[in-house]
Amino acid sequence: MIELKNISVRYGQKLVVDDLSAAVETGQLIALVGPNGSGKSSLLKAIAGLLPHDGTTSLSTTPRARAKQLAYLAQNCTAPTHRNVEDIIALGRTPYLGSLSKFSQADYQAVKAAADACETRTYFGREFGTLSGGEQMRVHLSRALATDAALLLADEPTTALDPYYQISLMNILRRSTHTGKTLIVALHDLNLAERFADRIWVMQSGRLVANKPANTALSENILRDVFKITPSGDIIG
Amino acid sequence: MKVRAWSIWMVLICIAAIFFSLFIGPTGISFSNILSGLAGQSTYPVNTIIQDIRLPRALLAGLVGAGLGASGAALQGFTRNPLAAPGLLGFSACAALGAVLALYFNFPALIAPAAIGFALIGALVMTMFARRRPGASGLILAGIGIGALATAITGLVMNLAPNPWALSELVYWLMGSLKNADKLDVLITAPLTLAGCLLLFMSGPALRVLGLGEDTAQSLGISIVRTQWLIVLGCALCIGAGVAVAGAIGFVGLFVPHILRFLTKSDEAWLIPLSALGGACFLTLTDGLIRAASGPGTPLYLGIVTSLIGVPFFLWLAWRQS
Repeated sequence: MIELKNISVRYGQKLVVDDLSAAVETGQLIALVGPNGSGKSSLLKAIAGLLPHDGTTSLSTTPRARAKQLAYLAQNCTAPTHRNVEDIIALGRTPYLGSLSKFSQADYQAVKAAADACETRTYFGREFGTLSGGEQMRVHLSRALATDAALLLADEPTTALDPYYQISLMNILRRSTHTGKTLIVALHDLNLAERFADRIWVMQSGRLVANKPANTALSENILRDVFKITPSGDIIG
Repeated sequence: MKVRAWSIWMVLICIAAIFFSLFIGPTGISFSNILSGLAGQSTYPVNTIIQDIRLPRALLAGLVGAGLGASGAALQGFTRNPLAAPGLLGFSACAALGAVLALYFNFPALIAPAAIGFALIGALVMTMFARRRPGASGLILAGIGIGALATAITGLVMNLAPNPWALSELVYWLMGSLKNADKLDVLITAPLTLAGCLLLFMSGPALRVLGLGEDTAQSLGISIVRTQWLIVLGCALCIGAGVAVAGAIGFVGLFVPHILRFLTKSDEAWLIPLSALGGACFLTLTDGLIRAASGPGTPLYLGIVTSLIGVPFFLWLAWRQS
């Protein structure tokens, strides 16, 4: 279980995550939803140790040890366009490598397993820049899975993907929970959240306003008060 | 060809370039005499020409070029900016300011320590300013600002030069040259450049991960602050030592990593050492050509020629990017 206790994040005077506490059961997929600026990305960065914050998590506070416990998929992932796909996926093993140590058999196995899980083996030998946006996101996800961390944090991984790659990516994320991984995935698409997540966390103005099973979290009240839309998808006001 | 094979080729080309440059000079020396001169078993003037004049100059060109190439590759990798170079980020300007102050106050013996000292001070100030925002953007902003300040103070020092001869001495020195290279310069430059290159090589594995973005790299356990320190100190040592003995040499740190980038597929862990070798080859050959082309009354300056070669490349790069 991953526990978050009283997490607060500030940008200067502005409080973007406000005293948030929650827990995630092992093997669950949490969809983190909320309007733009509600604090989703800041919360994920705070959990990943990328932002100074108040409060505690059950994860290690040492960067090297935490890097083995969690993998982070940033909102705007990037990679050198000339690098080969397998080299980029292999970077997911960085936390296990010393300054002078070489790739072990276990590292190779982890890279292959991650590539198989995301169906990116066929891209091996190709330069990253030659892939489409959807293929590139799969490579980034392979890199994150290659770390073989218990927790995966993904910040809007489906944004800018077509429906095929959105569903394909969510399927990969869903399948990875079968191997005991815990996932917190920030999403804008409420349909994807409801379909693939075990629980949905709804954030508004830095606060967690709902933490419920996926089939009940997006109530009419939440849609109206948080997202300013009706259940049929119309804008209120 | 694999990058390892390219590295071996570059080492061989470097050795060949240094050997080739031993032939160049006003006195023609045969191949066998150069070999015996290197071993100290030729006649007195040949031994002196080879061991005290041509070999130190060739080695110094190699060392300065290696420092510039490695620094440029590391800075481009850290900032993920193809235009980053020691000249742009203020390292060269700080070192040049130290040397110009030593010349202005008529302490020629202090040129080397002043250049190295000012490069290190510049690096520390840069890191201090970039502390609030460690990473690419912080270093670029701090580096450009400090470089502009150092250039302005250098201009002020030249403005206050007591007479035209003092001013011309400063100007000629800033053009960059290895014409006064001697064994002592090699002894000063070699350990500092090698230490600087070692720090830059150590940053390579972290730079490889930084290609994924700063957040992702940090989530993989990479320390941005440690990497920034390795690069800033490595560049300060390489550039300070280079400027101390050769003056300001422009553009090598910019275009050598670009030329070699395709060999390494932008893998900084290989690009930094390969750029060090490439910079060494380029500067040794360019200095050799300058010596061959210079007449007794018309010495060409190394910094001018590297800029003349580098500016067209810079414009081509800007054109390609746009």
